[in-house]
This record gives sequence, C-alpha cells and structure tokens, in this order.
Amino acid sequence: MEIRMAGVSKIFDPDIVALEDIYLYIKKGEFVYFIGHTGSGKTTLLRLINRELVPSSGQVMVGNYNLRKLRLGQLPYFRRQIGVVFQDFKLLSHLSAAENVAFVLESIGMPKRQVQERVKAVLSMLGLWRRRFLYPEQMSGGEQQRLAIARAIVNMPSLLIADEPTGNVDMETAESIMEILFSINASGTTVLMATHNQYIVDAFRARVIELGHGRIVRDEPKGEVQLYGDL
Amino acid sequence: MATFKYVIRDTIRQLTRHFTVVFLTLLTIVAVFLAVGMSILLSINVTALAFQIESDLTIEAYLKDQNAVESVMGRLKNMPQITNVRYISPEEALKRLDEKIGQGDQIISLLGDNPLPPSVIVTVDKAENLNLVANEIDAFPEVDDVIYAGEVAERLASLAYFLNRFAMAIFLVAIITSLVVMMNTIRIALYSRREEIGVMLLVGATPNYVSLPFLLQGVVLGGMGALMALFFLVRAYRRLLEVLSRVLPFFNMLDSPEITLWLFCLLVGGGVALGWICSWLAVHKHIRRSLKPR
Repeated sequence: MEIRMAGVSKIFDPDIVALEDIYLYIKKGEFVYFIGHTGSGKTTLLRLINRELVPSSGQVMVGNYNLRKLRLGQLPYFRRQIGVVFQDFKLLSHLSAAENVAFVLESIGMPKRQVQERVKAVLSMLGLWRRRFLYPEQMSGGEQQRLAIARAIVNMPSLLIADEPTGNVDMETAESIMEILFSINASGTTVLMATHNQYIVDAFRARVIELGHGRIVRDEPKGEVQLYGDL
Repeated sequence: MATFKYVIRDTIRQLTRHFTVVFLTLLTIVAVFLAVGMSILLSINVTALAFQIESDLTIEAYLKDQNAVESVMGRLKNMPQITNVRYISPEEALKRLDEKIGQGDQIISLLGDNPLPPSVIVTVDKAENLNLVANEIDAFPEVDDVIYAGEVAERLASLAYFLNRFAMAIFLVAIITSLVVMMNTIRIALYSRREEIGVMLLVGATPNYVSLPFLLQGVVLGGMGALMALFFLVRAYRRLLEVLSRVLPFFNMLDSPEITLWLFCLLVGGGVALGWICSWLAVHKHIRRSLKPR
C-alpha cells in the first residue's frame, strides 16, 4: 500500500501545530522508520494515515483512498487493510491471548473455523501459541508486545503501523520484534514504525524519516542516521 | 453465522455483566408498562360501558299504582317514536331483580311485602328521541319516576373522554421514563466497554456489528419488561373479573381473548420498539463520535 502526503498540516486547538506542510511518498512494500523527539509529530502522522485524525490542510492518500474524502461508512473497510500496533498495546484485559487476536477477525465477520486457523498460525509465528490461554496481565511486556503485533497482522494487512513497538521491552525482545516486523515486510506489507531506539535504527537498516517540530527534517533512504543530529 | 453467534453471546454477556443495573431497569420497565396497561384497560372498559349504555334505547317508567296501567299503555302506544311497550308487574320486577342479584327472597322476608311498583318498559326508535320521550312520559300524572340511560351515558362518555386523555398522559410519561432509564442502562454498558468498542472500530468492525448486541440488549429489556407487565396485568384483571362477577354481577367488564392479544401486541410491541429506539439513540451517538476523526 503506498502512501502520499501533500502539504499536510495538523493543528490542534488552541493553535498547537503538530504537523506542518508535510510532503511524503512511501512506496508499496517499504519499511520506514519515523524518528524524532517526543512531541515531534510522529504519532500524529501515523494517526493521520490510520484516519484517526484528519489533516487541518493538505491531502493524505493511502492506497486508493483519499482520506479527506473517505466517508464514515467506508472507514471500517479501509481500516481492515491496516494493522496497528499501538504504543499502549490496547489489548483487552478480559480476553485471553487467543481471544484478543481472534476478536479482530470475528469483528469483521470471518467464519469461526477460518478464525481458529489464522489465530493458530499467527500465534505460532510469534511464539505465543503455548501462551494462548493467558490473559494480557499474566504475560510479560515482551509477550504483550508480540501479542499486539499478532493482533495487528492476523488480518494480513497491506500496511502495518507500529507506534514504538520496542518502547517498553529489553534489547533482546526488541531485536526479536524487529525480526518479526522485517519478516512481515518481506512478505510485501508496507511497515511504518515510530521509534526512539537508535540501536534498532542502526541495526535494522531501512528508510528513516526524521521529524522535528512537526516538520520533516531528514529523509534518509536506508542509511545510517544519527538520531536528532541537527535538532 | 459467526456474527449471529457473536451478537447472541455478547448480548447475554452484557445482560449478565451489570446484573443489578439490568434488574433495576427491568423493574422500572415492568412498573411503567403496568401503569400503561392499567390505564388502557380502565379506559377501554369505561368507553365500552358508555357505548353499551348509550345504545340502550329503553326507558323505564314507574307507575304510581296498578290502576294507571291501561291508560298509560294506551297513550304510549300512540306515540310515533315508541316502537315497543311492555308492562312489568311488581311480581315480574321482583323475579328480574332476583335473577340479577339473587336476593329476592331476602327482600320479601325483610320488608314483608313486594316493594316494587308496576312499571312499563318503552323502546324508542333512535337515541336522539330518548330525552324527548322520557320528558313526555315523566309529565304523565300517573307516572312516579322515569329512568333511562341517556344521562348516565353522557356522564360515562365524559368520564371515558377524560380517561382516554389520562391514558395518553400515562403513555407519554411512561415512554419518557422508559427512554431515560433504558438509554442510561445502554450508556453504562457502552461506557464499560468503550475501550473494546474503540479497538473494534480501529480494527475495521462495522458500526452495525458493534451496535447489534446493544440493540438486542435494548430489545430484550423492553420486550421482557413488557411481557412481565402483561403477565401481572392479565392475572390481576382475571382476578378482578372474578371478584366483580360475585360482588357486582350486573357490572359487565370486557372479557375476551382478543383483549389479551391486543394488550400483548400493544405492550410487547411497544416494549420491543422502545428498547430498539433507546439503544439505537445511545449506540449510534457513541459510535459516530468514536469513528469520527478529530
């Protein structure tokens, strides 16, 4: 799924400029890191792409969807093509690991048998099949993170958005998460990842877009980047 | 099929999750629909009674003594508005009273004699002539008193009119009360699941999919509440019919399976519709707000 942004600005009330005049093109199947200080606009940009937010000005195109013109009735079908790993996971505490993943497929009306097959496949891929009966609070931070990824990819999305997926885990877990994200990317899924983790950006090379004060301050195609160097 | 199972499972989960709130809501709906049902029954009974009395085209004239019978009968038969005249002797009047309330022997033993006067029952051609004929008969010197349904019917008609308005008012108050209570119950259910609903909408669940369990919850609450109210109402009405048939045997209340069926359609249909509307209003607003990008 390719993404285009043209002249995008986002201003929150009262006059807080989160993004300003963003021009961006992301190819289908690309892996892109969004880096920058807290408040630089990374999460706002990702939420614009998922249409949780609408730009104050400018155009956002995701695949064939012009998000400014997207009607509320079309939104569920648009979002089914996108997997999101939220910064705070957003796992449902009253559901087991398997149920948390199955819930996404049930929500879109997939038959039970197919749901079971998909859930098993994705939990096995992320090493969580044996932990499927545990509730989120019974799992470690790394397991919760992997569960959030499992939920995001179970619907085989064309675009995966991950907001700080390695934010709360140790380095070893972070590396395993990155390996998973790159393997998903290798299957053709466009991956957008917001991160603060310089080690990860250095170790797993991909395109890096750096944001500062709501603007793109650097756009490096798959190169080594010194984080926040010019800020 | 998966959606159907999910909706049923989720509806049951919601109904049992906040049991106290659901139970109190159900009680309120039962009380509200009981009030509606009672006012409807009262109103239709009084209306039917007024109609029944109004359609009674007879006038009963009580004579001063037995000697006046022939002259009165002769004059009555000459009146063009009168279609039928029948003489009721004191003995026949006592027999009729005994048939109605079954205490003729007691009256005789208490008073020592038959106290009922001779009378004539006159049938007029149409209701508009009741007053005219009754006034003319009342003016006969041999006639002691005239009784006819006109005045009673008028009073009952005005009572029925008032009761109909009263039933409408109860109905409106009941609808508003149910709306507020049921909407709040659905809102509590929505609030307790706001996180889950948010995630569902973020992963691509359609608003219909998210809202169906809440709509069904409203329908179940409204329908069950109305059904329980109907059960209590029908039982209480049957009991009242039994008691009245013994205490006031001449007072005929409406009693037919159609009334129960009619009440069923009105109350349960109303409960279901109300439940659906309340839930839809609450859920629709919440989902639109959640989906709408900021």
